[in-house]
Amino acid sequence: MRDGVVLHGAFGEEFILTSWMDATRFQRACAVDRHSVGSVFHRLTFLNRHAFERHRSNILSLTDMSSPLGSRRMSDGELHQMILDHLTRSGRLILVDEGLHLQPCGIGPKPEASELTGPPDAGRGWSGDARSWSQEKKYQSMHPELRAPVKAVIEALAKRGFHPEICYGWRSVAKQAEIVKKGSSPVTFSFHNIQKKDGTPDSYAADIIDHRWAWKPPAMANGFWKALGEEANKQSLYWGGVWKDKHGKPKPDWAHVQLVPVSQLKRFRKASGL
Amino acid sequence: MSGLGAILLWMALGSTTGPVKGPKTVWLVIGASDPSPAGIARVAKGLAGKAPGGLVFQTRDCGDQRNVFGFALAVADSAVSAKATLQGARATVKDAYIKRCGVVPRSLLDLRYPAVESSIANVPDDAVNWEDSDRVSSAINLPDGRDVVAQRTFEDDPEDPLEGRTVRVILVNGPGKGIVLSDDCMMPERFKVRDGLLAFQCFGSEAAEQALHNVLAFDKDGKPLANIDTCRNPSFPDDSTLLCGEEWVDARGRLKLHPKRTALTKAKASAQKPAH
Repeated sequence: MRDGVVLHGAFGEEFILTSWMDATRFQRACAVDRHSVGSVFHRLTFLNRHAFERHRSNILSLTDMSSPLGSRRMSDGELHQMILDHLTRSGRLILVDEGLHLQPCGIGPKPEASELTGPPDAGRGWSGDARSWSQEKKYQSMHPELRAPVKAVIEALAKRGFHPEICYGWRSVAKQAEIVKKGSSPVTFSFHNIQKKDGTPDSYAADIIDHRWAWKPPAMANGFWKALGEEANKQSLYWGGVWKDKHGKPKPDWAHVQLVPVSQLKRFRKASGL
Repeated sequence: MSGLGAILLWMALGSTTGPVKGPKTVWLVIGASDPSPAGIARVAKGLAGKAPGGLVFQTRDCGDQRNVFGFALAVADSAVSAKATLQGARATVKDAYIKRCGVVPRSLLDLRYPAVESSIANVPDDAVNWEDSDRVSSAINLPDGRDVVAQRTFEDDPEDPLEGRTVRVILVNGPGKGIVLSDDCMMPERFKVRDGLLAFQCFGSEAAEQALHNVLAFDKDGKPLANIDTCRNPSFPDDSTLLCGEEWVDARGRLKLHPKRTALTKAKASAQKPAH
C-alpha cells in the first residue's frame, strides 16, 4: 500500500491526500466532499508548498504516475491541476479530514452515494420526533456515506419478501438523554446522535425493522434479523446483531447497523462539537 | 404491623433473616482520598502493590452526609490494632491517618467489597459513555437477608458498544466473597426472592425508545435456573415457576408485555463460580 501525504491546515489540523484505492473505509467516510474539496485543496496548496515539492514522487505514485519521466516533465502548476482533477472529477484521489476544525467527515467520492446526497436542510426542518419522520427524511438525516448502503439493504430485504423500514436514522442528544432517563438506553451518545458542528443531523447508524414485526418474536422466527445481518454484511456495514461481550455471550442489537467501527465513537462525538 | 406480627414474619422468613443490626465500628487506616471515583481508582492502583489488602470505600458507608472516596490501607476492629497498623503504613504513605467509622449495615464496606473496583483505573480519560455512577459499585440488600453486589468494572475492548462498561452481579457469601451470578448484567434491577430462589433483570438492548431485558433466576445456592431473553419484571408465583413479562415492541415503539411462565429445573453446578 502506498503512503498518503500529510498536509497541514492553517490551524494545525491534518489532511491526508491518498488514493481512493488505498484508503480504508473509514478514510473514505471522512473524505472532504467533492463540492468542497477544490477550495480546501487550494488553501492547502498555499500552506504546504514545500510539502508538495518534498512528496512529489509519492504524490505521483498515488496517481500511478511514478515514472521519472513523468515527474520531470510535470510543472508544479500541472501537478496541482492533476491532483485537483483526481480529487474533484475522477475520484482517484481523496483528501481525508483528520482534523477537527472543519466539518468532520465529508461526502466520499463513492459514485453510488451521489443519488442520495442532497444537502440536508441545515438548522431547519430537523425538529420533532425523529422516529416519526418520513423514510426520506430519515435517509437525509444520515451521513451521506451511510445512505446508499442502507438503501441497498432495504431494497435487498424487500426483494426477499420482507417489509423493511428505517425506525431511526438520526436522533438528537436531547432525545437520547430522554431515552436514558427512561432507563431504555445505557448510553448518552451513540452513532445515531452524530451531527455536524452546526447541528445538522449526520447519523452514522440506522435501525432497520420489518414494520409488521418490529422487535416482536416473529422478526426472529421469520428470519428477518438474519436476513438483515446478511444484507448489512454485503454492504460492509457493521451489524449490531453479532455483538458479544468479552466472554462471548451475545449482546445483540438486532436492528442496528452502522458505518464505522464502535471504536470510532469518541472521535465522532468530538467532531460533533458535543 | 404489630409486634407479634413482626416476630411471626421474622420466624417465617427463617434463619437467614435476623433483627436489623446497628452500625459496627471499625477503624480505617486511610492512605488516600479523592472526591471522584476515577480519581480514587487511579490512586488505589498506585498503592495496591504496597497495600495488597487495601480497600476502596466511600464515606457514605460510614454514615457521612458528604460522600468522599477513600483508600483504606487496612480495616481494623479496634483503635489499638489500627494504631499498630498505622505505624507500618506510614513507611508507605507518610500522611496516612485513622478514621473511626460506624459502618452502615449491609453496605459495601460492611460486606468488604470495594466501592470502586480496581479495573476502573484503566477506563480511558476520553471515554464517551462513562459517568461517575458507572464507576461505583453498589450493594443490593435482598428482603430475605441476603446481599448482592453490583460490581461495576471495566473490560478493555475497543469494539464494545458500551466501551467496556460491565456490571458483575455477585451473591455475597462472606466478607469480600461471593458467587458470580452474572459476568455482565447492565442495569441489574427488580430483584425478587422466594424460598431462597432469586431472580432479577438485566438491560439487553434498545428497541425504538424501549429497553429489552433478560431475566435470570437462581436457586438458593446461586446455581442458575433460567435465563430468558426479552423479558422483564420477574416474579415467583410458586417455588417452581418463574413468571416474567415477554417484551413485544411494535413499529411505533409501543411496548406490550405478555406473561411468560417458565418451569424451573435444577441447573448445572458448573455454571457458577466464586467471585474471589
